[in-house]
Amino acid sequence: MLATVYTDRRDGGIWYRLVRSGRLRGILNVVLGSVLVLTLLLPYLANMASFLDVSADPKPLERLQPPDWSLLALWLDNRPTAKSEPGNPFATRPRARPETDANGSPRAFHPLGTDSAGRDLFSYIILGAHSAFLPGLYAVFLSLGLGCLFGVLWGYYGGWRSSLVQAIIKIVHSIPRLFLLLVVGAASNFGIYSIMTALGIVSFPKISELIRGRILSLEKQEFITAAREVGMGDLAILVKHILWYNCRHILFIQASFGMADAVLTETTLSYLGFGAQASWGQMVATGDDYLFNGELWASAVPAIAVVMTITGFCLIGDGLSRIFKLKS
Amino acid sequence: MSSSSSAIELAKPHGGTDGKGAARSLGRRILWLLLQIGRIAVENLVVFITTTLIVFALIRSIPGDEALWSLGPGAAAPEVESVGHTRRTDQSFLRQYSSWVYATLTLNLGISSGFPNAERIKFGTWVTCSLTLGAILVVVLIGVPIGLASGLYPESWLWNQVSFLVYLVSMVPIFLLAYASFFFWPFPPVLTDIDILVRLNPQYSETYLYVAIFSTMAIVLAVGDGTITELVRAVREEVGRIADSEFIRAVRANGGAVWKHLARNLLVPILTVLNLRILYLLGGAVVVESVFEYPGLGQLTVEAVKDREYGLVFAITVVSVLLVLLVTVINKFLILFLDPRARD
Repeated sequence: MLATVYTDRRDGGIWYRLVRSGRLRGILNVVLGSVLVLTLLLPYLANMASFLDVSADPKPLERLQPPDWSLLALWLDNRPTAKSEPGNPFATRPRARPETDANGSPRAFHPLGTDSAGRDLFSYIILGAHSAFLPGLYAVFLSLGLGCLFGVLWGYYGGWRSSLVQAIIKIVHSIPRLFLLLVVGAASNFGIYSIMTALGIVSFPKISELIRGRILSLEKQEFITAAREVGMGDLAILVKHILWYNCRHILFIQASFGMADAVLTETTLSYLGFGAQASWGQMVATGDDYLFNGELWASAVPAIAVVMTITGFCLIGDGLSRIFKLKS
Repeated sequence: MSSSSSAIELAKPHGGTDGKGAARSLGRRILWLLLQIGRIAVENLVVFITTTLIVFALIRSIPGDEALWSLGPGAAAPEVESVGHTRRTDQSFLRQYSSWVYATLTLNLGISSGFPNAERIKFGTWVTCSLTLGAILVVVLIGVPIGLASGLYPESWLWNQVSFLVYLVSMVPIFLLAYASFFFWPFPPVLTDIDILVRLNPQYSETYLYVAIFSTMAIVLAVGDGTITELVRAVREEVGRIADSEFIRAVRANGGAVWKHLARNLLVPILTVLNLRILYLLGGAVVVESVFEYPGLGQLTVEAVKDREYGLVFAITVVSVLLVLLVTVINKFLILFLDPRARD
């Protein structure tokens, strides 16, 4: 019997291996996604509103002001002052906006402009994050919890429990999601947490399918039998060995995608008018009367916020799935 | 039976593999068929009843008297009572449920906002179905080539990035995609009022304008909500599975057409994905119809919920559940018909 030689199966340096396997792309995606998400959620999370001096009071005298960094504002502020010469085509153009208020205090600075009621959009976006973040987190946890429960019932135990789960999933799969969310919203007077409960219930089948697939692929290994022989209870085996050791990565990835889905659904519902009050979708809906007049920022600023958040969460989920080498 | 079977199928013995192939009589086969149809009917009936019961329970739990709400605060008591009796809101749970379901199925829905509800539902169903079919067409036209290319060239940087880009675009909310489509809107800023559009653009015919609006909506609905991504994924998986297999190599060695075999093997994953995504497509149709003010089921639901017409909401839910169940059953039969491996 020849002695076996231990060889190190590494075909390249660390950077070569990271790039080739796509894990560097995964790390980049996660970092980029986190940057996008934190840009919007950090002021809300850290309660930086007072630090940034934001207030979302409507000021009708300042309605539909363009962003103060835009070319339009520059043009408005820097147009030539009145020249008294008659016949001069550029004469007698008063400055568009006074430097001071009627009370003498300086005009407020709107970094992202104001909407049709005069609310500062920058502040309103930070305040609008509250209707997307915590309810979305709640929907994600609910769908993960239900998905774990039903996935385990489906995959670990067979028999009538699995048939019951299949029947429940078939029922959940037979009604269009937005219809159900509209009905639940109407039933609960559009409470955002009720709508997010319904969203969590509608989203759990996918997670339970994934967990069931993972359990089925783990059944052939002997650690489950070994743990049972040692005397571990079923619940401990499920929670520790199966869910925490083997399905953790699936749950994190589905949490990111679920958060993206929750923000997307909440924005769509509040765009239609059913949902939280101060929300990005509602801001887009209010601003869309002015799209064709060229005042794009009233709708575009919350739209960019929404796209940043959703893309951020998607990038995080996609990056995690590349890092853990799941099928993306 | 069919002359264009694949090599693997020809290798299997004809009929069943349980040795009873030729021995099953016609009567037994018909009985088996009837049993299967009965089983499917009962399953779907149970799902239908459970789903509509849940929605009905939600609606019934809304506080307040619907009749009083619809008539206004100054209504006299006999009027409130008669409206309540017509809408069956004064009856018990099961009675109201069964009378509402019966009214929906016999299209006896009354009038609200000046139009008979049955007509609105019929028209809305037809409109939304055509929109969904158009969206499915767009999904297949865009998704299948991308999936094919990704599957045939799995290491290619270009196709991986294209599918990633498609995925990112599909995660944008649908109403934002609709707004983006307005940047390519060749018409003056009037949304979808065909009369005004026809008057302002005399060079186009009404059919052209209608088709342009419809295809914009179909594209927006198709791209949003990730249907194309799922299709690309499924097609890529199937192509990756097949492209190296033996019978494809045999066909290539004989100089035959590979595309025919690829196409026939791709039908089943496409149907599976569409079956899974029909719910998302119907949900997206709600938003698209709201943005474009298109008179379909989605906009009808939104208006009904806004106007608190819960009977109409329930009727629309019944119709949509029936649609989804019908699509699922048709899908299952199509897959059974097309894929010999599924006939176990």
